[in-house]
Amino acid sequence: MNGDREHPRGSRVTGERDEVLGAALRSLPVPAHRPGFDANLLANLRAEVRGRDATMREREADREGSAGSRLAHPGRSRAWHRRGLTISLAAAASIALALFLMVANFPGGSLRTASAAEVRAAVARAWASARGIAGVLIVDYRAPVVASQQDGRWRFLLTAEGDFRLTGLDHAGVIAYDAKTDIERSLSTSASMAGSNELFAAELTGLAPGAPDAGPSSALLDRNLGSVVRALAAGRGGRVHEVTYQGRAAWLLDLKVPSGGALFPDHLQVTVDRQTGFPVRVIASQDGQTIYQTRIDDLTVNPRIPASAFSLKFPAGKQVSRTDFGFRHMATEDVGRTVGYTPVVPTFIPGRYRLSDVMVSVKPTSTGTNPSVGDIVSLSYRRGLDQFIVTTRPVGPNPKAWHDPVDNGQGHVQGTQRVTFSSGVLANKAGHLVIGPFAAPHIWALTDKLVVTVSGDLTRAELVQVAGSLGPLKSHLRSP
Amino acid sequence: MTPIGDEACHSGGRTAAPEQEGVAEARALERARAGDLDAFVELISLHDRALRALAYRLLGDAQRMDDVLQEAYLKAFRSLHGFEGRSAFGSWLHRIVYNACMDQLRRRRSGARHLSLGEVDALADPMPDPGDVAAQRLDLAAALASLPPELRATVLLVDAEGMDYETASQVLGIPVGTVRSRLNRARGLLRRTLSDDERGRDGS
Repeated sequence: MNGDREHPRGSRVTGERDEVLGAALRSLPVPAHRPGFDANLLANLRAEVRGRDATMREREADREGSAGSRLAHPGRSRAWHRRGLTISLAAAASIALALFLMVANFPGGSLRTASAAEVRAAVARAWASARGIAGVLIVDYRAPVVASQQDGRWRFLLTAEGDFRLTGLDHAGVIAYDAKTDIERSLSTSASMAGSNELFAAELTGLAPGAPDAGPSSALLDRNLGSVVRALAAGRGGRVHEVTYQGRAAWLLDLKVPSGGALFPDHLQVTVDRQTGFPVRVIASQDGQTIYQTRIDDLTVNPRIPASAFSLKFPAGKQVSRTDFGFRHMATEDVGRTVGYTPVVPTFIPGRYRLSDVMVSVKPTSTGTNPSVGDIVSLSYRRGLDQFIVTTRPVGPNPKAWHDPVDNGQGHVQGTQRVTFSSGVLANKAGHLVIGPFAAPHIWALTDKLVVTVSGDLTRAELVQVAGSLGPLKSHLRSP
Repeated sequence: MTPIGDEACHSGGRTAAPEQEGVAEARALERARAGDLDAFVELISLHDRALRALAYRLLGDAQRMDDVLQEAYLKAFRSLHGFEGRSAFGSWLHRIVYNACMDQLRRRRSGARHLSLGEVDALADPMPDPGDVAAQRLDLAAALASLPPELRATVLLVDAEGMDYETASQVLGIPVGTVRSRLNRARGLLRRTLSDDERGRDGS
């Protein structure tokens, strides 16, 4: 179209497209697929694959038998040649189609603005499929009191196995956690010694895979990256703008979030890098005032990682503070014997998650204000940078003494909902479901003997399904 | 596996996907070609919403939309080995779906009838919200349904999905000039029917 033309409803034709008409057309509802559409398609696809396999086997058999039997079975030979001709024609057609497509080289058109749901889906996909990420994390709080504790620039490296390394760029300090050895080492200044540059060495061992028990000190990354991904996943709606951020195409998702309290934002502006699907900047505000801004520079997805990246050598002679939290990797067949009860495991595992760690602590520890108990089993499942954890521990003599084990008292947990299960070991038991913009989504529940938690990067439906599928650990469950 | 029809998925018509999307799509393609059904479903999911929109607007019936998409997705799976493009996968899929819809319309031709605006009301989308917006949507859905399918597809691909004329011409299998003329006709007819309808409602 050349020039601009008025549309009766105020639409304008600019360039090739009528943008207003296009927006109106896009706003028309589109029916969802009928129930069972996916299952039907998958069944058809599987039948197709089975059919191909059968044809392949038939061809193999034909090939094997052709040399010896062609003279004896000329008809069969003709059949083979007919099939060969068909295959050749199909191949020729494929090549022709490929050539056509190459020659046609469908040129790209201008893209419509993505919806908020699409941006969320892109972020979720990126998070769930990455093997690792690296970059520079910059945190900038506006409130001076918080800023003095939180602000800074760190070079970070995070892998899908849970290893991470944080190196201070504008201050001294480094933390490295090796998931294989379950050892975290750090050199850092003391928060209680303001102005001092003295570095203290610490080594943590026996760490749990994560909440509700003490896991690696990845809170900085979790607070500034993981929580953003969770906030996006938990949120609804929002407006998307196409923007350029640091010279790269990006989406700016502007959304309101239910505030988690005085220190938590009620509004986020999240810039998502279109190429990678990762959030690269977050501006968090409350009542229109910016509370903090975080951003990631030099983001690299699936970086090459040196073997030594997650080990940290202390300077010779340095005094090292060592703490053992009591968790140990364990083969699944040894778990029941060690803890003295039959642990529970989910039989429903959401797509592409895999069991990555089985850890046990016999050492009594407490979560929040809960009773201190040992014999804790923690199962960690991972999918890209996503993780969810299933834990069990003895309930002890006083079930009423238990509160949410995942609530660390920092105000993240709000809006608990009660759910009742109809299957598994939690059948007819009430569970407590927490999905908030800044809390790790989780469910906790009590059986007669156990406290059970399921927490991590799961949707509400997945959480309920996983918790509802919990059953006694069977001997056939293989160790990761 | 990404559920098909998940509204959180990318919409289709994206013929110039960013490099990373293209790479991710190419990887999914490789896996799908190797027989990974989840990868194929993932590919389909990227474009499913746009394809549902196209099929539904062309066929005017959710049941037929699903039937045709089942057929088209299966056809796409069978033809994957012949697909070498990367960022043009969405266009290729659109072409398959468009052709399947047109085949379905041709098969129905004997029993088909051209719907009047009044009849089209019955096909119009459910209105989640009352008032002007809903009225406009109903008008637009009805006006769109009154267009010949070829014009409907053109205006949907270009104005709604944001395809450029070249891409739309590949999907529709027509020259660029025809895309241009179909668009002119479609927009003109939409304007006229919407204006007529507005006058009718105003009593003028």
